[in-house]
Amino acid sequence: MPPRLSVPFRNRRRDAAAAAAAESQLAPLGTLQEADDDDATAPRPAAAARADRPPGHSDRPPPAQSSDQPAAAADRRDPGAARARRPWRRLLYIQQDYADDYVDSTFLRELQKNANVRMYDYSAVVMQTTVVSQHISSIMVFIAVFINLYRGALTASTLLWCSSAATAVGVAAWDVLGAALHTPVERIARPRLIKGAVLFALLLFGLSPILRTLTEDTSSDTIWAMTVFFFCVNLAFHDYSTGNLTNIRFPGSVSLNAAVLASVLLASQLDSNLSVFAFLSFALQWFALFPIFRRYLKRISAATSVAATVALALVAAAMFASILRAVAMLFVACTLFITFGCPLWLIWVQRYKNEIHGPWDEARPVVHGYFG
Amino acid sequence: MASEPSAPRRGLHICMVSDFFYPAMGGVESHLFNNSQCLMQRGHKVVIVTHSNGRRQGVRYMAGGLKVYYIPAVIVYSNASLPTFFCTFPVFRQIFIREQIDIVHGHQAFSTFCHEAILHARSMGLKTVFTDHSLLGFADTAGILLNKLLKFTLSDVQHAICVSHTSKENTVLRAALDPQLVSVVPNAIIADQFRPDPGARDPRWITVVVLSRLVYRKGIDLLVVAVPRVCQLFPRVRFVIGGDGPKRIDLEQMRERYMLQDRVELLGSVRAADVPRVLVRGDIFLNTSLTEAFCIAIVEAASCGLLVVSTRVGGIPEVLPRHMITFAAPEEDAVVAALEEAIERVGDRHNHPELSPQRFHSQVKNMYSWHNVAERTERVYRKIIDLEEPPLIERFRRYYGCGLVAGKLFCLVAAVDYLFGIILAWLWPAAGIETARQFSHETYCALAARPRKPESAPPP
Repeated sequence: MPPRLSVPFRNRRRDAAAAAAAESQLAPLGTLQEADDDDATAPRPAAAARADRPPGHSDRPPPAQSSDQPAAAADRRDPGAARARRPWRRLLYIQQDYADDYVDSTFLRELQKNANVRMYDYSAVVMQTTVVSQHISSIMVFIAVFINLYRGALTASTLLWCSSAATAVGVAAWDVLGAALHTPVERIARPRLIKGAVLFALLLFGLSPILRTLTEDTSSDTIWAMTVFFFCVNLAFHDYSTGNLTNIRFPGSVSLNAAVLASVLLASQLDSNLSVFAFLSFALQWFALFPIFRRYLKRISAATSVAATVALALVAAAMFASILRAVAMLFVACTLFITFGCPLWLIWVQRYKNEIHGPWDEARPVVHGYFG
Repeated sequence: MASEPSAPRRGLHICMVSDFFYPAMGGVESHLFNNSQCLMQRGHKVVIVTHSNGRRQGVRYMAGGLKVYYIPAVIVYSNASLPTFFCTFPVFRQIFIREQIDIVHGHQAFSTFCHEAILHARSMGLKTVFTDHSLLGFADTAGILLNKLLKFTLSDVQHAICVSHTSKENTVLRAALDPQLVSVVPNAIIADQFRPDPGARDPRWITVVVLSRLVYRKGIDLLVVAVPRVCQLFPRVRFVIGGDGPKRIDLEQMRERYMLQDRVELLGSVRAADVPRVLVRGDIFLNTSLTEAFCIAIVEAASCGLLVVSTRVGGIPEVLPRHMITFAAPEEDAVVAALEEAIERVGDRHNHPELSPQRFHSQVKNMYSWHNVAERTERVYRKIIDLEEPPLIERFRRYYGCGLVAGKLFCLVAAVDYLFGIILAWLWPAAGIETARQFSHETYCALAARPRKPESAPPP
């Protein structure tokens, strides 16, 4: 894509003129010009000497004369001086025969636009969106599970058994995948893992009655609204990158906390202790462990990850189809838009990219042997 | 240099406003002080407004009868005061009326006082000038926010001044200004304070001096890697490094790791008055800054007769002629290569008559002087003082163009400020505010009973 040459000289007194002048000046994106030595006699194109004005001249000429204006205009005003005058030089240590607010034709010559803009490949971006649709689908599945549990279509024990079995399979897969990927983290000792899981389950079970009655005095509408809000937070802060396989760091931790909070709010709407326990253990497995599994999957093979995305989306759509068809339709439309529409959008808005670089940028030091 | 058509008829009343002023030290501070001194010598009245610093509050007089208002303010970050938008209006209005100010001249984009003073001065219909002393990028969050603020302020100043051509380009882009409204007036030094002293140099060594705050932006990472390499290449070279900051620990580690304790001297922070004494000990001055609008330090060093080696960043290529400075890209190898070249030139000094410290000094003295800066600043003042005041709606039109959301916000701020100004004028009518008695520079000189010095030095 060609770099855009509209310069932010907008909204000023002579908007159009300034913009036009700037465009004409910007055309050659020259590199650093070596200033030659002391003597100011270095020959320069005559064009450089024309766009000036005599010192003390009170009215302002147009910002800078563009290249199509004849040089004769300046010469007519002061025929002898324009030719005799030395060309302007971009130096501070010499006193020049130019006003301090003189704008030379070399002004902003070293400006570079969109020097390091990356162009995206459509199919690659589409593949990258799968993580987002995966996460949205997983939230939808979670909500569908809650609704079924709330309505009694799903019993607590079924959910408990299913989720426990899935987690066991996942842990086994984790071991296998970890070995295959050579993750740098040391293996967590099996007995410690099991001990931790059992302790956690007991604690959760003991707390279930408290959690069930936690929001008894709060109206359900408030709870639904807050849940939606916290799921949005979860969606916004989720760690979508595939690099982090072992732990949960800052923005991801916000996301997990929001999801757990939403789950606790939802669980407090259930009517039996067992349901609360089953639902919350499912929530933790779903939001803390499942994303790690998905990241592993993505790392191993993109195709499997795409397949998992499609499967998850279909499950979410199917579960919602039985609850409320409109939501299911909306969800499918959203997913399609995110997967195929948004990448197009991103590539399209690249044309508005307006990055400027120049000699004023802070340099990045290049250091090889830094001993740290 | 263009000459002023006629001698100034009447001295202007100028109010310089910035958060950065004595007792703090730095480029902006010395610019304000020296420029004000020279403007006063040219027959203008100059008042400086800054925030209070510890017990330094209220009105103080400095050398030359320079009146300074230290206004109590809360400091938030790196000596800049808390933005209050409107709260400073009453006190600024009192000062402007009391001192019968014609032109309000704000300094430095990081200064809250500068932005607020310009806004209030415009609400009162005074002429305003803004001077930018530093460069800022376009990519980081701080840069984007500050550039928006700068756009707001500069939408309605009569003229802007930058310290180098690179800085002018940067400001024009940052604030979407018409380049015709921006003048380039460089910084200067008091050359008499920076004289070469051949006796202070140790002839057994070639000494490389570094004087800078030890922070990332000054390129200390480059220094840390270049020093051991140069020490290894040249057994006769030693380093004197002055300044303090978070990167000092890196330098100390480097010194220990390569056992250069006898060849790398770390001075810690150096008082402004001691800078010439440190500089004259050296043969070469090394500057590794990553960004720099002007860099007074290299001018000071050249005035002391040191050959300068510097990274080619920002406005530095405009500052010194090529025989005084060797440029390097901001890369380890380039800095080492440039130092090598400079060391070889200095080591072979008798074959290079152009490297004579006295010659350097006299050349720099001719290049930069605060009198010249003041003369050029005055020319800016003379140009804007008779400009026609645009109608209020035109001011709003300019603010409105600052951005889709920001433009409306800026209009709101400007409108509230304008109304606040009307309320203030009703509460404290201008007629009821006592005007300050004139205290001219001549009076001061007569009182101080000493001949007028060519350039005044800052008080110790």
